[in-house]
Amino acid sequence: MKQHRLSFELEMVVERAYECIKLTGRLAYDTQLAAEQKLATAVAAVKRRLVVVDVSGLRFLDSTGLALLVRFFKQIVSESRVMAIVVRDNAAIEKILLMAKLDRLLPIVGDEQQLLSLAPPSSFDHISQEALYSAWRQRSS
Amino acid sequence: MVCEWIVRCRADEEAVLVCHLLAEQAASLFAVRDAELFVLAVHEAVVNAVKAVQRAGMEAGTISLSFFVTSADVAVAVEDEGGGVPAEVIEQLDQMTLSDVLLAESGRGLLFIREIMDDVMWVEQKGGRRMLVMKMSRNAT
Repeated sequence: MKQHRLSFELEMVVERAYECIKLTGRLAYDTQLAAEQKLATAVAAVKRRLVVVDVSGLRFLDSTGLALLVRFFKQIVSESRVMAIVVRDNAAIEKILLMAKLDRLLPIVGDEQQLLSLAPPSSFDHISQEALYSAWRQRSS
Repeated sequence: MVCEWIVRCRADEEAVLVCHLLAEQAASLFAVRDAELFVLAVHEAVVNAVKAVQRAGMEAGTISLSFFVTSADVAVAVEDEGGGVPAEVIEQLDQMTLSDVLLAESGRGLLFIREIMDDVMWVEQKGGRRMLVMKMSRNAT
């Protein structure tokens, strides 16, 4: 069994308007301990108000991984930050997010540009999760 | 019956990974309707089984995964030596959807299985244990 199949990696990139958290590998039962630790570290290290979680590098996501994503979302929002998920062309992961109805919680967009087009750049410093979500729903309906 | 494939593993994290690989192979070999979701459903069932054995405190407990392939579909049976899924949980499942666990940090696994597979049954075994049996259709050749 190749080791790379079992890994979960998290990388944080601070952009001017947002912070991108790139997840790669497996976010699942078999990587939950490492994932839990890395996500907790990321919550504490976030600097920007707008947090973009890029899941396009995930090869597998299960219900355990989804629970970790939901917990991460709740922690981000409880710190008065806002969060969205970027899927790019990862249709398999997008299908799982939609099946879990996460699109009823937060914006799920193709890329950062789609997200940044939802509101004027200056508004991301004070926008609420509800306002961001509402703008996304209006745009996508 | 085209073929039958039965595997028994010790109920641990390695079993989850081995069964995941077998599900990928079965999905590809037998051309199920949606290979990625088939693998996710089998993975969730195996994780549940492993957790049931661990909850029962059976260090050497095992799980079994069986594939029964016909020209129309692939049936998968997952059984554990733990307590299986309690009857009250199965009853609750009938009343729940994935929307009900939107912000929950557990409880999506069995709901995923029900959402993904064409048919899901609980077969009562000796000693009152319940074996999960689920089916997905194969693509027409």
